[in-house]
Amino acid sequence: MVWVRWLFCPLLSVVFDVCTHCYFLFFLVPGVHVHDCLHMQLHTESKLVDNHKKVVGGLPPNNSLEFFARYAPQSGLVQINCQDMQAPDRHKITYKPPVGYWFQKYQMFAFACTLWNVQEYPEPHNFRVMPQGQSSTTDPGWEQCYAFWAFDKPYPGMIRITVLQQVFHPGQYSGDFGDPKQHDPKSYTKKKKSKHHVEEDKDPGPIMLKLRQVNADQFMYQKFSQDGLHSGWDLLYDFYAWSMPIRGTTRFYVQIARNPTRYRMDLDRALPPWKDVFTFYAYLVDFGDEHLLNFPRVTSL
Amino acid sequence: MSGEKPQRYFFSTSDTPPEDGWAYCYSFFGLSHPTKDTHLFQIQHKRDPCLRSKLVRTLLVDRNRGLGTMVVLSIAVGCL
Repeated sequence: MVWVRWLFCPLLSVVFDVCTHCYFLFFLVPGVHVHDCLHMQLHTESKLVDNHKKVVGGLPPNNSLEFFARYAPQSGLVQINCQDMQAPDRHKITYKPPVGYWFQKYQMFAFACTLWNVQEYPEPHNFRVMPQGQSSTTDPGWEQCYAFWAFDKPYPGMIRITVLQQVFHPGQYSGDFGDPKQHDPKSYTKKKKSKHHVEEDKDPGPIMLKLRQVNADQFMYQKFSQDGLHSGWDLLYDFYAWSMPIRGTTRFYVQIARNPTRYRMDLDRALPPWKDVFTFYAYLVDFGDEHLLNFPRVTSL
Repeated sequence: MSGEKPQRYFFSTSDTPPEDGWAYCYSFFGLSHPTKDTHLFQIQHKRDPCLRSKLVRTLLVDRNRGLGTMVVLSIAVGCL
């Protein structure tokens, strides 16, 4: 009876596509664990698909408790140290060198990442992207849309995305000075009126007041771009995301709308008045850190 | 470590805490398939006498398998 099981188990394992773990379980209790594993696998996959409805490039990676990391340094990867301590024996993985009674076991090189929260403000209509730990859905007026994981360092195949900001008083935000098609009212440069006539602009005056500090009656506007600081926009954050579909990622559309100029990141292609500017691929999280990572954090290990 | 600092750590590929009382530290992304110059790392959980995690490195070096596959997954680190 035993050799019959050994004979048919490899065949059944191919037919049912069961994992190695279940192969051994099947040997002990035929039939039961194979079904359980397949059912659990399908359930897990359907749950992952539900959570990543707009995922591209195939299903996201499963929640296996194993992963691969490089053992040699590479541009775009950070060193992560694995350290251990006794009584009871336990491990710690951290970016920092060992302290106290923690002893270095080995090192690996992987991707450093940050959770980015996309939030929306209803009136005046505004969007913002805030990194993990620096935003809260309890901020008055701001509503959490979703979040995504992006990388802290550039790696081949990634693009840099910048979050720029300007601060305005309500009603004074009328345009995007960074758009070359729009004339900057603060600009004193000569404007070409006709083919043979060039005259200097009149002083437009301080029609917009830009301050570093956000007062209570001011609004902070963000621009999502691939450029650095320019035309009055200050560089607030930057992160890196894939420029191409990678398995498990979701396509994000950076969009713009006029009157007033607003920027946002959306999961769908733009509909008027919004227009797509560029796209990137990152790892979608349904909720932000307030929901998904809803437990206290420590900033140092 | 001092008594105020965390003593135990929990590693997971899920972003949810194992039980109440754990604090989230950070996440990083690893590869879900072997590529050039990679090792396999396996997360193990121990429950007795208290819940904590270990990270076991397997010196598996297969330079020819899965090359060109760039799939990453997140690993969350929690502490207590």
